[in-house]
Amino acid sequence: MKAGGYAGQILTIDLTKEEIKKEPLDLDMAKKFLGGFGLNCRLAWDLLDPKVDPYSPDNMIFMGMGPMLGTAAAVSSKHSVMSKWPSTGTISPGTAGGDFGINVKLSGYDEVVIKGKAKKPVYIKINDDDVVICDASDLWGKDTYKTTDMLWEKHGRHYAVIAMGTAGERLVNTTICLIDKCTSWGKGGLPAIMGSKNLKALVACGSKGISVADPNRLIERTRMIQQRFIGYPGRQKLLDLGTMDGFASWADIHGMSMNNWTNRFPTEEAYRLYNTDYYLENIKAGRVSDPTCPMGCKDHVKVKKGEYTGTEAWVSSFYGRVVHMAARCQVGSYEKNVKAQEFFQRTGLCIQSYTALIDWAVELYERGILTKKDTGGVELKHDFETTMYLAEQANKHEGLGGILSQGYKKAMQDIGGGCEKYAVQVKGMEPLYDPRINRLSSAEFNQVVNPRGAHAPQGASTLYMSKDADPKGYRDWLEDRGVSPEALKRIFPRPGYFNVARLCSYAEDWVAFTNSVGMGCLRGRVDNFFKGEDWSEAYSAVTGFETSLGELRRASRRIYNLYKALNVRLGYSRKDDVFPERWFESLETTDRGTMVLCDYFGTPLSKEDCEKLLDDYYDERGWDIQTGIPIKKTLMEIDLEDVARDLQKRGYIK
Amino acid sequence: MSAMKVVIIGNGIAGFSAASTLRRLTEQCDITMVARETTPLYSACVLPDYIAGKIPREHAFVKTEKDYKHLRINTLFGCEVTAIDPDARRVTLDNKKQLSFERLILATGSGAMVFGERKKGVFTLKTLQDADAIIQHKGKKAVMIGAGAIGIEISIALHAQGYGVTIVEMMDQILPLGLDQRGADKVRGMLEEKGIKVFNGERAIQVLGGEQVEGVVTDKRELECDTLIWAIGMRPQVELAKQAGISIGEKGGIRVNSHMETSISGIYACGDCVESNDILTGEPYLNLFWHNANRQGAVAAHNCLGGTKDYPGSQNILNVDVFGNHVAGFGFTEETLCRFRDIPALRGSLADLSIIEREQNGGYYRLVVVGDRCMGGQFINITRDVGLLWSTMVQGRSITGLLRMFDNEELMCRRPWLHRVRPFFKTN
Amino acid sequence: MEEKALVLHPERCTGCHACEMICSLVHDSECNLSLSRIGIMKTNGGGTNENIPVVCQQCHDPICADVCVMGAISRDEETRALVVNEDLCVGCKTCVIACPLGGVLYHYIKGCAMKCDLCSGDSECVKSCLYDAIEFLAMDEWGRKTRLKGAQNLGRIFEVVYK
Repeated sequence: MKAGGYAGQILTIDLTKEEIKKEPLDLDMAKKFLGGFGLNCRLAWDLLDPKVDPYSPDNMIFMGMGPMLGTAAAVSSKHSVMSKWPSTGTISPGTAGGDFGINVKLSGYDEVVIKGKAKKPVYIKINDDDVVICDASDLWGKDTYKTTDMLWEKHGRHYAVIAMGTAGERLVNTTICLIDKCTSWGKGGLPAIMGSKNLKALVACGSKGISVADPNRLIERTRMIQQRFIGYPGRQKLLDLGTMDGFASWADIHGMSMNNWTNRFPTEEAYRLYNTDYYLENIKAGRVSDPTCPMGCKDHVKVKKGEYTGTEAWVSSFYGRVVHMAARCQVGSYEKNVKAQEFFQRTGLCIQSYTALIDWAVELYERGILTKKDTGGVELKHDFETTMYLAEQANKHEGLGGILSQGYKKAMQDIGGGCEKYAVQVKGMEPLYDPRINRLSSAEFNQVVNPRGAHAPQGASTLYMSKDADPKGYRDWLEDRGVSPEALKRIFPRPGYFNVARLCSYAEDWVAFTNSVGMGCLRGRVDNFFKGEDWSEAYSAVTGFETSLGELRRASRRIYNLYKALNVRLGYSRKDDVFPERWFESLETTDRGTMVLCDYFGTPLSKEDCEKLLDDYYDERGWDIQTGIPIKKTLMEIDLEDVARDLQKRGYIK
Repeated sequence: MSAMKVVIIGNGIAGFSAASTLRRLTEQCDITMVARETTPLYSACVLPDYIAGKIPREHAFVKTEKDYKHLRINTLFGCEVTAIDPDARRVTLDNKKQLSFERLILATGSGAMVFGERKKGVFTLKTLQDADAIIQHKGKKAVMIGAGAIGIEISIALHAQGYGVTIVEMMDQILPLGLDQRGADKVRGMLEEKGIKVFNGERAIQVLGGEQVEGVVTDKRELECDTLIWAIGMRPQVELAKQAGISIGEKGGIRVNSHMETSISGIYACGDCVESNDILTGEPYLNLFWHNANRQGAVAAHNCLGGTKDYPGSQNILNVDVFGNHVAGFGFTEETLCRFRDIPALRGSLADLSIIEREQNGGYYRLVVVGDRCMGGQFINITRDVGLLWSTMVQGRSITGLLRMFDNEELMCRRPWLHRVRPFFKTN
Repeated sequence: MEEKALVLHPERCTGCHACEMICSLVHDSECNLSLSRIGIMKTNGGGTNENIPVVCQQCHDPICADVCVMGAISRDEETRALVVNEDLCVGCKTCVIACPLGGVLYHYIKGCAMKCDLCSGDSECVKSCLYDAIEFLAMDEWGRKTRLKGAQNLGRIFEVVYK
């Protein structure tokens, strides 16, 4: 049976045996797990040994492209990668846009599985039926930009390129790959895994088509969504500023946490150093968009004057620019920001993860836990020089930088001396949102319970980053996305209150869902233009499987439970879903007084309150409240019988 | 005002283009077309596809009789003009009738060259009739004399029809007007892979056989065949013009100015019968191609009516499909340029000649640069962006100027189309 | 009948492929970058100023129609677009290599030339581009807009140089 949207093949590449295998995609499995992230979870469950070492040849990389990816559906842009990340030891996803996913789909594959280890540096070329493991000896040792340029030179610019930088070659964990120089992928250490496999890059170009079962129905739905964008009154501002239109939200309404979560970047300084006008005049050089997405959240930045004139980079949204480099590293200017980012991008260092570790290291130095002996004689400060120094070390996998860039788990072990007390991390990964500044909404809460570790914003729901906005918006959003009236009653038991933990479970499902079908984006400014039925309509139109929103929601719940189960098998449970200690300390700001952990409405939350919220979360999820692990009944209800049996056999559930 | 009387001799694409352009420009025109052939316009270029069996006979036709009626063209098909009287502004037909004209457009085309006797089984390919005859012949073993584009296309067509084919080419390579040696050898390899034999540097001396051809003798060997095809070039058909006192050029075609007017005022010429200025060198050349004839006919029509359209110049294009490989070319090859040493347009000797040649992404290309200008390109399995490269050639752009621009981001930003040309020249 | 054309603004294009996906879907019922009549050529990272959208400009004096040995390319009276008659086209690709813009492409499934036909007057790509990088404009309106842009640029230069 031919279905629209699905390319119909799984491509498996064994680098040890140098074997390429193509198998037909089981459509029943595809319907159950949708594709993309969901399909990755299913295959990881079936094929990946839970005990595998992330650097081992037996660790696998699963790349999933959802059925909507590469079609004319609105915002059909994201594909998903999954592996056992070396920085955290969790099995979890990375999501990216860019041209790679659509070209793999257009080559005829819904899924690419990579295993084994090549004898010498290689890259993989995917071009329709022609899949080749190619020699990469001239690419090894080159940074991401150079590698990408060389591969474009060789194969043509129409090929999409995933490149790993020099850091990954040296098995540095807090790294990411770049797609076409601009889209980051694989936070958690995809390059380190690729480095351990001697896999330098992947290139893809597809010329086959993705069939659509009912083109007119799809076009109609796409037009509806597009019309909402076009009719939006603030549209011109979005076009002009891109994601920088959210700057005020970060700098002012909420805030960027600073000095290792002990301070908040002063608003006035944020506007002075990093205002949007300066950005548009002197830094922004262009904008890249993911497939069929109107948001264009990746900026091409280039320094136009001063010491670093000519330095350029392509970076995803402004998170990297402002929050990390400005607040965590306090580099001091846009120009230095771009210079630092360019270095991170070229080497493949993960801006989100590694800047947090630098921030932490500076505090450790200030407290004497790290001394000049550890730093190589250099004084660690919150500035550009320290950032570049530690980044250079990280790239070479040497010195203190080399230790830090292995991620919190390993770094805490290696540094010792009580450093864990000051590490703000969950399951080895750094959070992004400070719930003392932002208040605890679903994105902040998800950082605690996400099986991956604290990663933002997998728990995003439409009003994230919208302090003081009317919570009615949350209710409308949940209702529109098919959440049952009973659940809504539990989430909104009385006026002036909502249960963020219960709400979060539905937000998490939705993000998992969009990353599985390959349509939609967690960014509020995109998601706000969608209605739940957009997905059921588009999915039905593309695949030809008439599917209701409720069924899709059920599938997303199934996928999330499988995702949880993957990590349960690694031993994760409630004991790992921990609110960082520092969140319970009050935050003294220079310009906004004292901030404490509080709920959306400003009511302070104690540790007990947070534990109660965790209880509510597990309850809403149908998981055991003591252990935080899915119970058999829940798994059976969503057709994960084999998962239930396996967990039972291993003794994780009764 | 009475309608201008225009007589067009010839119903190839040049003649038809002239006629249809005239009608598009004005209703006030009396158009009479006299043609030797009896059919509406067909494309001689697709006759090899017809011979191969890839398209049915009807598909070769580009126009129908209705089209002529719709355009109000008086057609005298199956008729020959025997004489032109320029002073009396009259042509005489083979049925002794006479037609007067105010303007005359000669589109008498070209004919295929042939040596020796036209025994049974000996063919050239120019007209639909020729193609019909080849198809009806149903031979088994063919020898093709001439490995230009037409020779190659017919060889492939006969191969598709189950013939054993041997090609004999006088020059040291096939496609001598479109490719240099290396490219030609690649294409030759494609032919030989399919079992077509190719002999280069060999010329046919004698045709063997009685009424029916039985073989051909070259200066190196004797080849058996029941089918012999001469594809050694087209010659402009200019007897009528010559007889009327119209100047003929050195290359053998009717001399025309940039308005497509002949040496006699009021008489124009277009298409294969004409010697036109090559767009790259400005020198007279025989670029006998469909697109040149098409454009020349339109220009002639414009100027016929009192307009002053300039013909920019003719272009040499090679475009052949060799068993799924796309072989294309523009302008001059290194070899053909060497025969043009003294052309002012090339500014001095060919010591200034340089080559850019690369295998790239499964394809091959070669650019011939003289001084600071690109004068020709050859492409095998590279289709993308070739047109853009060709247009920079035609513009006569300075290569050093282009290279300078390629490295300047500001300039490239405002000229995005140059990004597509850049990969042909730069490798970083 | 006013002459309209698809006007492209490469400096606004972010390379999102929305136009390509909808074009191939509308014409061939499948989403396929290789079957789109409008194409985005990316250079470097593929950001604005690094994308070159290319589509047939429906030339007044078309080279593709000139070189077509089957006369298969002709002007649609209603839309003023140059359209390929697929029954006549033999797929020789001369038009593909002759077009100075790269606006004519080869349909590798049908085996014939393919190019923008302006979607019978209501171009789908225009509706799909959410960055305003494609407009379907009457030529005098386009002229006015371009002149306005030029004037604005002059004004900016004036500010920089004299103020």
